[in-house]
Formats: sequence, C-alpha cells, structure tokens
Amino acid sequence: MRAFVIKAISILIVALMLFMYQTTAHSYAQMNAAVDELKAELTKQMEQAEANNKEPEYKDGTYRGSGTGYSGELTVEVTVKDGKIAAIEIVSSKDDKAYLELASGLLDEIMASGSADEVAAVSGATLSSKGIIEAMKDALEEAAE
Amino acid sequence: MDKKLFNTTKYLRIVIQIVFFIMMPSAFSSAFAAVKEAAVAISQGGELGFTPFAKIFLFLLAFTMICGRFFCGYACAFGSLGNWIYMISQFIQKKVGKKLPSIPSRTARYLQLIKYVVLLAIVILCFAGFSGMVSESSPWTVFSLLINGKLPTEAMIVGAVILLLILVGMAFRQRFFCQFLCPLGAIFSLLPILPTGRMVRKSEGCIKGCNLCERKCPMDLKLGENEWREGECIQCRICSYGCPKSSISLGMIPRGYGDIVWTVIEAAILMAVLKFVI
Repeated sequence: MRAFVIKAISILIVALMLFMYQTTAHSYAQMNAAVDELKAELTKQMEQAEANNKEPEYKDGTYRGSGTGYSGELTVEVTVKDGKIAAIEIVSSKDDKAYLELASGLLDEIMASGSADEVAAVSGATLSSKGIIEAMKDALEEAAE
Repeated sequence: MDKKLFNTTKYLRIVIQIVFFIMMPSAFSSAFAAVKEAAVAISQGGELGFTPFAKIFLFLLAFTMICGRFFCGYACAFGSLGNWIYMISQFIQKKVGKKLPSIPSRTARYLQLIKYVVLLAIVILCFAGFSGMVSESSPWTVFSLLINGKLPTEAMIVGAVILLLILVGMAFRQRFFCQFLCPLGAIFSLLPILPTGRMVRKSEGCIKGCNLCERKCPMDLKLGENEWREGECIQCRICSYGCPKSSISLGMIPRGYGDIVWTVIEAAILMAVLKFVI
C-alpha cells in the first residue's frame, strides 16, 4: 500500500509539472505568435510605405520639356542627378516675369516630391502654373524613359 | 493445478500474442516515441503536442494502471518475440540435451535496474538534441523495419547489432529485453497499479518449499515479497495457472474461466482502442 501511494503521488507530481510546463509553453507560444503577427503586419506596412514614398527613378541627364503658358510656349530644363531631380530652370517663356515668379514656387514642390503629377496650380498665376506643370511632365516623361 | 485450464490459458495467450504481432507490430515503439517527442519539445521550449504517439502513450499508461502490464505480457510484439525465441531455445536445448547457463534470480533482480538507466539515457540524449542518434541506434527501429519487410540502412548498424545481441539474450532468458532493458517497461513498472491489475497470492495454503510461482515467473518476481517490485509483473498469469494450490489470482477477478473471459476482454479493449480509436 505504501509503495502504491508513493508511486501515485509521484505520478501526480510529474503530471502536474508537465501540465504547468504545458500551460507556460502554450502562453509563450501564443505570445510569440502574436509578436510574429505584429512583425508581419509591420513589415507589410513598411513595405507599402516604402513603395508609396519611392520617387520615380529618372535617368541622369538634362531634359527639356515644353507646355503652354499664359501667352504662349514655355520651356523648362530639368537636370537629373543620381536618379533624382537636381535642378529645374525655366529656359524660355513669353509670360510676364511677375506671373512666372509667382508660379515658380511650384518648382520647389516638384523637386521635393519628384513628380509633377500631384502639384496644384498657384492661384493668381494659374495659366503660367499649368504651363510649368505641363512642361515638367513633358520633360520628366522623357527622363523616365 | 488444473492441466486443462493451464493449457487453455497458455494457448489463448499465444493466439492473442500472434494477433497483436501481426496487427500492430510497432505499438511499443509508437508509445515510447511520445516520451522522446516530449523530451525534444521541452528541450526546445515548445508545446507538448497531442500527437497520435502521445495518445497511444497516455492510453497505455491509463490502461496499465487499471489492468496491470497486460500490454507487455500479451500485446507487445517485442515481448512476444522474446517468448517465442526462448521457447525455441528451450526446445533446442531439450533436443540437444545441453543447457545454456542461466542467470540467477538474485543477479537478475539487480540487472532489472538497467532499464531505468536506459530510460534516463534516452531521455537525456533526446533532451540534448541527439534524438536522431537515438532512433538510429534503436533496436526497435531496426526491428520495425525488418517486420515490415525492409532492410535497415547502414546508419542503423548500431541498432542492428544491439538487436542481434538482444535476440541472443532472449535465447538465454525469457523476457530478457523486457526485464533488463525496456525503457517503456521502466515507465510502466513505476506506475501505481490499482488492485484490479495485480496478482494476489494467498500464501496460507502453500506447500512448503514449493516456490513454483517464483521459479516460473519470467520477471523473477516473488509475489507478495516486495511491493515496490510488483510493477515488474507483466500479467502473464503463469503463476496463477501453474500454482498447485490455485492460490494466486488476478485482483478481483476469480481465477478460472471468468479470468479467461476477462483476458479476452482486455485484449479486445487494447486492440479496439489502439487500432480504431487512436
């Protein structure tokens, strides 16, 4: 009888230890799974953000593009260095200097975003702006090829 | 001793053993795989899976606590093999007229402790990340392959040699492997076995100096002598049916045809659960 009781108690202790181990391992595994899930989500988000932020890659060189401003043709010259827009210059335009100056704020915006797609015309110099945007699109299209 | 009853139980046992040998020759290694699996899982800090191995193992633990080591005595293919090799060996010894040297009971009882070392070694090796080595050098793996008609690979040479040595040992002593080496048996013999699964001897009517039960016992048990060693009993019932005074019986089941029916029920439960439920 004594041996039976001692054996039974030992078995219970072993079973209890295994049970405790199992619950710990289970919560640990669940925690790990949650962490993995978060990690996966984060990587996905980061990849997406990276894809969004990625500026369109341009080939190095100097490109000209033209558009129609307030009073006729407008030409810009874009310099691409290391795949990014390094400088923009308005080469020729028939528009008034005042309008051009007002609209040339766009150039910094385009430089920063790397694209002329999502810039809005400057109010007060709408047509000059449109000419610049058009010319920029033209030049960058060439640069993108 | 009732000769007719003795022979009935003897042949019943052989039939049950053959059926289990054919139907589930690797039940023992599947059950023990659960232990290795658990050791590996714990060493990696992982969860213990409720795998088919674990199910077989847990079922056998529960079954053994209620019915005793019936699995060892009747269902384990390796145990049956031990019985048969010993039988053949005895037959040849009789024919030739020479006897192989036998291991004295006292020595055997010490040798029985080796199986705990085997169990501990396997668990430690699995824990330390050598589970591949363990299954490659396991005689059970080689045996399972041979039974299924496949030849062991070169990597299993250690297992094959151990198996060969065990087969030789089986010729010398009945239940050589079960008694001295079996790690699953080591676990079983540590289980608290309920009165329903224990052989009980009423020694009042014993013939002085008979000791037949002790001499016939394949596990070198002295019934009622040491409660700690009762886990060694494999429920073969040779003592029960060999006893000239019929004073040994299993737990609460009356000795005789009731016990024979119970034996068949036990075998049916084992077979049904291992084969169809798990």
